[in-house]
Amino acid sequence: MKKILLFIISLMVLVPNIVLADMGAPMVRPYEAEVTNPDGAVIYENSNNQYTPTSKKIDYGQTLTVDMEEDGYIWVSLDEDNISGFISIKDVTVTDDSLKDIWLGEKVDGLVLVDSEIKKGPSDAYKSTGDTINAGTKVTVRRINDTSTPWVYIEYNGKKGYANSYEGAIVYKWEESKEHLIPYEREIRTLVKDGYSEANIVGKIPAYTIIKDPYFTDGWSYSMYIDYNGEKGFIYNMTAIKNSGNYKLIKNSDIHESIESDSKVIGKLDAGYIFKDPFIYEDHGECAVFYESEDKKIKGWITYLWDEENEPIKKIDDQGNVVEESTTTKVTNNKEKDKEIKLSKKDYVIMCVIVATSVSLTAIVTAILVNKKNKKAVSNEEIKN
Amino acid sequence: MRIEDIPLVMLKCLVLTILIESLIALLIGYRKKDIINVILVNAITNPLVTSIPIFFNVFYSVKARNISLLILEIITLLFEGFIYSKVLKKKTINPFALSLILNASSYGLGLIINGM
Repeated sequence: MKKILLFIISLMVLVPNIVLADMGAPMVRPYEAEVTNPDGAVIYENSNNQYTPTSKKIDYGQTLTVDMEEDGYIWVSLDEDNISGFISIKDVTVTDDSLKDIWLGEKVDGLVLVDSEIKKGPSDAYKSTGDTINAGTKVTVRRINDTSTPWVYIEYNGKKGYANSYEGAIVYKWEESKEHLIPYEREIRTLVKDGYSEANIVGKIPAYTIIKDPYFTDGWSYSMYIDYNGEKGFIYNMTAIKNSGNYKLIKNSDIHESIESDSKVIGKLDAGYIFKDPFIYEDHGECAVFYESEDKKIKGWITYLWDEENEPIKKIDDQGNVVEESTTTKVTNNKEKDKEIKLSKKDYVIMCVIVATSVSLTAIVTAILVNKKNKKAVSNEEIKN
Repeated sequence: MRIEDIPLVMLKCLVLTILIESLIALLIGYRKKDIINVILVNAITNPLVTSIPIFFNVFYSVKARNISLLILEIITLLFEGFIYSKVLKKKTINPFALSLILNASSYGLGLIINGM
């Protein structure tokens, strides 16, 4: 009885601590925040992405745990007051600045385009560090490994903290930044704080211009930031990306005027032609390889659908043999396409749970077999004796 | 942590837990066959204890995650103790106490590692 009691007491004392230590899979950490709006925080309802204020409020000084934040609103649920809904992030201030569990990506070069206030955490709810980084400053950026947030971690000249890169306030180089060929003349737009369609046009970049290692923001379309002959701004990010290596044309193909497969045919290219480090365009399965004649008089595209059997080009090695893995299957200059191919976050988590369950079941079976074997061995020994 | 990192994180948790608990079991005086059982028991419990709270975190809330973790840890302690009572050759320590000791050890070292 005493032992059982001791065991239960130990459980009550130790288990919470074990739970803490066993949290080996930290997520972007929720934070404690306090309602600092003297008038309290109005509760909003969200219907079809529209936030409508209700008559309910959370009082000034109330402490909340924030674990979901979206579009400047945070979800709250206070069981004791029977309140649940959204409140504006501007009505709260974070009370706990320790951020051990936010996982950051690799360091990449970044550029601040708008004077940015540095916060202690990745939200407007965090306090300012007191520093502001001026527009035009080159910084080191680390993205937060929760791809839905525009907040990034930046470092510059001893200043560190989080800033909001939304709408191109801060741009940075993707880890996979490459050379890009512009397939069409593109407008260069200012994106900062204006939204894509309202942004001013500051210039144009001609077709076939090559952009090396540009900056990006996390927007979908106008997300590539360039400086073209002094004209700085954002362009539509659908480009042909340079693929290193030799590619062989395996069937006679038409050269098209543009990346559109139904555009005018301006020439023909025979099978056997070798492309060296070609620029390849891909958009939702429609692909095109850029072709330029030696005398540069003909510029056009070999168009095709993204389908291994149909691809007219194959990567080859130095001996001219086809390399089995087609790198065109890896060409993506559209982050939307990446997201279409991958599992959703929730499906991925379900898959992880299934894998974990499989591992556990395998271990159970193994344990049964191992112990059965041991039992047999022991009983054989006993029989011998 | 990216969502894509979950499997790697789970693997790290499992490997570390197995290493730490096997080491402690060795120090206590358990030997080969019992160590194998310690490893297998952790291979049964650890993946579930790591993945299920993540599930609750993503699908429900952090609160749900914490509650599920607490419940799972208690179940794990009792389950491991029960299994140890059935399979371990060395019977000097109460199997439930052993389960507590081993899990508490991985807590302590886990804290140190996290702190680093």
